[in-house]
Amino acid sequence: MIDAFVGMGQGFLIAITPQNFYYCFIGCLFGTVVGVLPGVGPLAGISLLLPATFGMDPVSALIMLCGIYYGAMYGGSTTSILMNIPGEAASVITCIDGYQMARKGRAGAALFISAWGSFIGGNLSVLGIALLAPALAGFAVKFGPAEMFAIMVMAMLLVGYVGSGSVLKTMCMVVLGLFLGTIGMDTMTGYLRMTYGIKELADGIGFIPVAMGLFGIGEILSSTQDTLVRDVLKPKLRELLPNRQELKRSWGPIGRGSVLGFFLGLLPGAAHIIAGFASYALEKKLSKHPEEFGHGRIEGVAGPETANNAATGGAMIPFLSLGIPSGPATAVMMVALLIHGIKPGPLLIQENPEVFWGVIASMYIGNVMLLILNLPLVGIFVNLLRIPFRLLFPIILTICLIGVYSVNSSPAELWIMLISGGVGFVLKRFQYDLAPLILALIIGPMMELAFRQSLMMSGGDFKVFVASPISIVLISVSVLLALGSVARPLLANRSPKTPLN
Amino acid sequence: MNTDRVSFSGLFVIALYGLLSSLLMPLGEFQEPGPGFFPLCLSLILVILSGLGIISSRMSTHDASRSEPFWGNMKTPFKIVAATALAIFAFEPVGFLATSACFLTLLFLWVSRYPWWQAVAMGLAGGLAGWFSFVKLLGVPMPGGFLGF
Repeated sequence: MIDAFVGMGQGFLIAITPQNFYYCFIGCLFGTVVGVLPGVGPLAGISLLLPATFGMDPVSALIMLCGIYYGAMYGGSTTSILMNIPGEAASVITCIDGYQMARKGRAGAALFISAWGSFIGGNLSVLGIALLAPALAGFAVKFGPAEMFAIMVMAMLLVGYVGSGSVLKTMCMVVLGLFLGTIGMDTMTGYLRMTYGIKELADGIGFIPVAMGLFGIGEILSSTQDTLVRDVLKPKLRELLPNRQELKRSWGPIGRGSVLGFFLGLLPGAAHIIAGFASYALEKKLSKHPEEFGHGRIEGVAGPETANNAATGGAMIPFLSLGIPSGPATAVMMVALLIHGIKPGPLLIQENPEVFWGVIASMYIGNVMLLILNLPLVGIFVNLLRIPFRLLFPIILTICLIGVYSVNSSPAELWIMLISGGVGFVLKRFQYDLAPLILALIIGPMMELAFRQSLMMSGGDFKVFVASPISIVLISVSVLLALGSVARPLLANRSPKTPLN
Repeated sequence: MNTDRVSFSGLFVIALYGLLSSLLMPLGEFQEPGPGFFPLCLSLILVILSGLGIISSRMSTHDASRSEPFWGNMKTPFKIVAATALAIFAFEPVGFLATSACFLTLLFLWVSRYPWWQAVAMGLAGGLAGWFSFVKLLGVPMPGGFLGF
């Protein structure tokens, strides 16, 4: 505990240097902008600024990318409340009561509570990282290849289990992502797998071109008809303060949303989206007036917005302390660190404490910046929505080209991005979730290495995967998740159909 | 045929292809798995999952659930893909500045349907702004092409 506070103190000294302070601000500002703009999520935002981090030192780079990540969560709520359009997937649930509050003239209060809840949730989750991540990293040092393989299997099954769509479709995307991860040179034997003489594929299918293709180009292809002029409800600054009753009713959801969001953030997949939905469901369940949800209850804004911000903090724990990204956005951050020669994982805190503690401390500073940015400047951000999509998408496409080319100066990666964009567009039409695919693509090579190393160490004995108490627990949880995934649709089919609320 | 059956069938074909490709690689033994072993396991799992998907979509009662046209208007996405493909072809030989300016102009004109003079002005301004911010300001390495910038 004392180590955590000492580390945090050192982190603040790193985070408040003018350079890091500046990059934190740029990250938060850019994050808010990508959060406000529908169709440009945190993943695209982080990927777009990735080339700009190449010349920076790793701490500044990660501080800026983290700022984009949690900044997008703040920005996403603005459009949900004022326009009924979620700027970011995690803010979908905020549309329900946030927009109704805006229609009743309480837009300012909804925005204030949303920003305040995000601030509290964000800060509490940072405290959680500071306390939990070092302990988890210390524990993870004991992990061998078999344990690492078991934890990755569990992560992949969790993605399928907690996913919002069809379990079968999600698991297909997971396996497809893992399979794509095997393309390229085999790290253990040097054998070229499915490269078909294309030398650029020897290093494997790059994560950045696939991510930019699926989420950047794929999103643009899906949204090209979106050229509508939108109506925006503009709040006045004096209307920003909530009344006493609204404040009182928000404290409970903010507290519960912080805890719920933080722990759900630890799960791989779309945790920040699930956190918002889970918090909304919890608040509705606990409310004395559940029938008023959907008609502008402040709890329906406070809980989900707090939870999705708290989840971003929770999501940093597996990434920083285990080296396993919990979502596509953290996967891009992992790539950024790897480009700078820093490997996230159990040894990160010991070997690069300035990166770990500097980033954690910057998240506190970033949360304060976002609170200041998101309340008085809400009018300016709302004006971004007046930019027609037909003007915006060519610019985004050009930045995608720049972003992908700058990583390896390879035109082949531009082709991979374009093909991935087409594939992403088709998969979206077929209602497949793309996040599991991208997550599996980055975990795939690590998973294969752990799998083969385990078998080689045990002389081909599969019992190695249940040889230690840690792997027994992890494999047992995986089996339960697999059974749960199979049972859930069957039970859903049996239960009587009730009308959707 | 419902859309789920189409998509799972596509995945099934990919899985079969993966299975065949994996079998052509050295599989090794359990004590020393070869490069084909892990892809083989994954292809088998994908065959099973997509097979289950095909079966479940056959049993599904929601065949007629999607009444709207599945593909919708494909003209615009096709134009964007074609313009991007052209830009990728020209990226290295022509250079970043000229390619990005032409790419933006083409999209503003062909897809966004701005008047030609607006499209050209915005394309040139966008190309120059991108070149200045990324190449000059941030030092991101971009191809110069035969024009040198």
